[in-house]
Amino acid sequence: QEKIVLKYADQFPLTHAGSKLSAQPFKQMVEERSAGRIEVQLYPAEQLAKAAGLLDAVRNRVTDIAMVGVVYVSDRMPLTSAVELPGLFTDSVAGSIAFTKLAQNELLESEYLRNGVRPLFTMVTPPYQAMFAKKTELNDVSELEGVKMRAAGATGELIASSLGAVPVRVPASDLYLALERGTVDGANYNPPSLFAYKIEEVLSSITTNASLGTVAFAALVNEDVWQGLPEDARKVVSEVATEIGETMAAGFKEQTGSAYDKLEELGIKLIELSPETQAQFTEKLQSVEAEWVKQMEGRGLPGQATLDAYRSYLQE
Amino acid sequence: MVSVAVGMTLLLFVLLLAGMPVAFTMLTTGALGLYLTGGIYPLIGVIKTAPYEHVTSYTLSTLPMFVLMAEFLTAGRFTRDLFAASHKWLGHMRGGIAYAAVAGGVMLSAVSGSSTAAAGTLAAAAHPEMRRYGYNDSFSTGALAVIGTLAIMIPPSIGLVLFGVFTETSVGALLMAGLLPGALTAASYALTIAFIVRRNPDAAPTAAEPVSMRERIFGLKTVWPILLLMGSMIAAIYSGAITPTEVGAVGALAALVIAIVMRRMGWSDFLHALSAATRNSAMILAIIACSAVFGIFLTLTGVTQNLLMAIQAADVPPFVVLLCVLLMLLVLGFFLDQLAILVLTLPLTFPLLAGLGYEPVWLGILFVKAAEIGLITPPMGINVFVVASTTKVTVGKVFRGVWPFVLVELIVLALLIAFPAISLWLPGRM
Amino acid sequence: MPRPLERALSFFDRIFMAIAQLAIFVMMLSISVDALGRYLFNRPLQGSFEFTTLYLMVILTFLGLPATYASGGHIRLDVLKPWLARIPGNPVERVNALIAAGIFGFLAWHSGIEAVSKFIDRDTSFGVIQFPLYWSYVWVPLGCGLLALRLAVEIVFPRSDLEGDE
Ligand code: NA
Ligand code: NA
Repeated sequence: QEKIVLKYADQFPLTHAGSKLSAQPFKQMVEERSAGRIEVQLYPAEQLAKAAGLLDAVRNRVTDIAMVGVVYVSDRMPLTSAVELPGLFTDSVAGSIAFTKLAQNELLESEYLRNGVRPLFTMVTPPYQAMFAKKTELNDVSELEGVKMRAAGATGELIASSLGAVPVRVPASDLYLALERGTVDGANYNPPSLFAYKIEEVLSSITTNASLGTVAFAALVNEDVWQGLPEDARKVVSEVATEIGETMAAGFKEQTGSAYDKLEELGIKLIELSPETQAQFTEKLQSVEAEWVKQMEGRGLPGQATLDAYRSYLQE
Repeated sequence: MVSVAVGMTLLLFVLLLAGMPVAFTMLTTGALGLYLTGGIYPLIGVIKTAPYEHVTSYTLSTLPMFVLMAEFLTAGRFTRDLFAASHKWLGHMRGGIAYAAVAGGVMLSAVSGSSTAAAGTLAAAAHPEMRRYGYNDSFSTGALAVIGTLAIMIPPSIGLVLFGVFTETSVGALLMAGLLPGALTAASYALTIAFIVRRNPDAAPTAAEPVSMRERIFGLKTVWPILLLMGSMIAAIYSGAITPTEVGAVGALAALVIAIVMRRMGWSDFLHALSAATRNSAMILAIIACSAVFGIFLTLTGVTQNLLMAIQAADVPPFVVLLCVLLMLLVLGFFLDQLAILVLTLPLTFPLLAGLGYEPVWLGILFVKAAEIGLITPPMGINVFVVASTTKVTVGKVFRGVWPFVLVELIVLALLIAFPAISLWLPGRM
Repeated sequence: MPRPLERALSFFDRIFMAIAQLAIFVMMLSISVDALGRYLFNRPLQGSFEFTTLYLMVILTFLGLPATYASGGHIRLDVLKPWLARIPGNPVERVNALIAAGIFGFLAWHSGIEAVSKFIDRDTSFGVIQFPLYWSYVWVPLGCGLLALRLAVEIVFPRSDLEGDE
């Protein structure tokens, strides 16, 4: 039997949770369960393509599989960006399972196969939190008025401005300095990832129960490569993908929990929003979803239907 | 795979020697290599997207903006005045303008994170003056290419930030750690210049006689705007008003406004500066875009990974591993861009060395220093290319002027290895 | 190179270069207004980030490419120049031009197909400003295509100035 080699590319360094929870176990499990018949070659840390180019890389068969950040492909997978909207879920494991179902059913043809790729597994991070360099309290949403918050992408900008904050785009490499020196007052970000950029060194506080959107990733395989794989190889890859889809989201959720412990240990104040404040947030954030639906419907895309489908999967 | 990598590297040499532009050689050998290793799909996939992707970067916009600022300052004759003034003050010393360039390089490095941008700026500013005062072209351009590398060590530094991001090392500590090695490097450049001008007095002629104190002070009259600009840019970054990525654009705008307000720039000067900045930026960006294809090809061959695995498997003393890795970085530095080297090697080298117990912050300084040396070593010394293209001095002449500095750089690297305290003392005080 | 050919190529070179110059100038304004607006008035310029990365950087790099090459602005090694220039018929320069024309033509062709497909799909980003992303992809084939044309002409009429002409 001929050996099958699959190239797997992503944006995460090998030391990042995004790699430890997906690429590395994927390689190990696939190689183990195929008894060495399939070899997975990892290309971490944007080695094969920039984060924004990973979809092109898998579409063009530069790599066979790529972990693609949804935030970078809102032009070519517009409906997929629904899962990054704020306030849809509190449990990211449920969110991830629902996202996989959405990707493999409603969106399969229009967003994935159209681009020549097929979703293997997907993940959403636990909801983003607000973190601040100096501020140590957050009792009313009006306190965010005019506060400069670093937003990671276009959805993040809408989220920040809907809360009255001033969204600021700062490249990740500048974020540490920007927070330390007051270029921005805070950031919307997910707790486990901030250690990768040493952001904890320049923080005073972080919220624990806000729901400021999320970042979604989808592991995509090139459709031609997929169809070219023998049946048994596809079976192994599918099985492993399903398992990783579940363990990765759970792992990320667990890391969020331990991230808070670590942050508290470092003397960073954990802000738990009161139910009243949370309600204020939810109300303000509704405009983001409305804007998303409006823009999708404006392009003739079934925005509302996609959101409804996602919500019903979340209920399951 | 290894044979393809070696073959393409040889072909790269041949094409370079045949006089093909550097950017074109990287694209050609990278594309051919991709075809030989992966076939037609990776070739088409990479070539139509990688050059595009690698320039659609906000951080990279710092580069054209600093080049533009330098051109505006030159068009407003500010840099010329700066070097004329420094010549009045230091000109009776041998190599006076070269020392002034070191001082200017330190100032530029405190605002710029990109060595290429700093080298372009310095070359545009200082070289015409050095030529006017009769400096030898090899010496002056070599010195400028080398001084430009300071920007990657003295904070803010794109290289150190990248290292921190890749390895989860404290960026704040890394930036602090860069200060003393940066100062040491600057001092070593000044010493090298002193040595060269002593051995070869013709390289840097002195002015006939010392200028009167009155004339020296009078010479400062037109220098204050540029000093003020540099000062406010440093203040703007350190106060957090502006990020290191944005400061080039704001600096360029300020330079333009100052030049117009002081009536030192006409419409044609403006157009000329804009055109020169566009040309120089497009050239550097083309190299970055094209070298992306070569970088991806090297990644796909797995050559760097295999090499590191071999080191790991050989089970040798940690110190030997460290030296081997640094040697590999220096060798890669002959061919590749500094950031490409870090991106290519860090995922494997860092866990390897950190696992052997080496201090991450110190490793960051050593890595960046090794990558910095690669900026000035042939055949792929990007700072040399930038200086050559800005000054219209041949690449060969610049490389000849660079050699003494490369030797000194190796000594500085050895000092940094021998005395980790140079790197670790300051961050320890934080 | 025959004059009409040179004039035709230079005409497009100059237009592309003018757009690239506009791009670098607008980049300076856009980033400055964003940074100063944020610091002085708490009002950053939204969209400056995308506008700079997706359009201005690409335009600057690829529309600046042909004219920069034509004016000898691309750095190259010149150690063998004295010997190479003495070979009659300038074969080395012809081969250089042939290889480079081929590779840039290949790049222009495939990135051109990509750009056309983006135009057909009308890919647009989601956000405060909905950027027409298809306009980000046209500059690569335009710049590389024009460069490939010049290089193709140089196969027949090799440039005599290895070092550049300024
Ligand atoms: Na610097
Ligand atoms: Na080098």
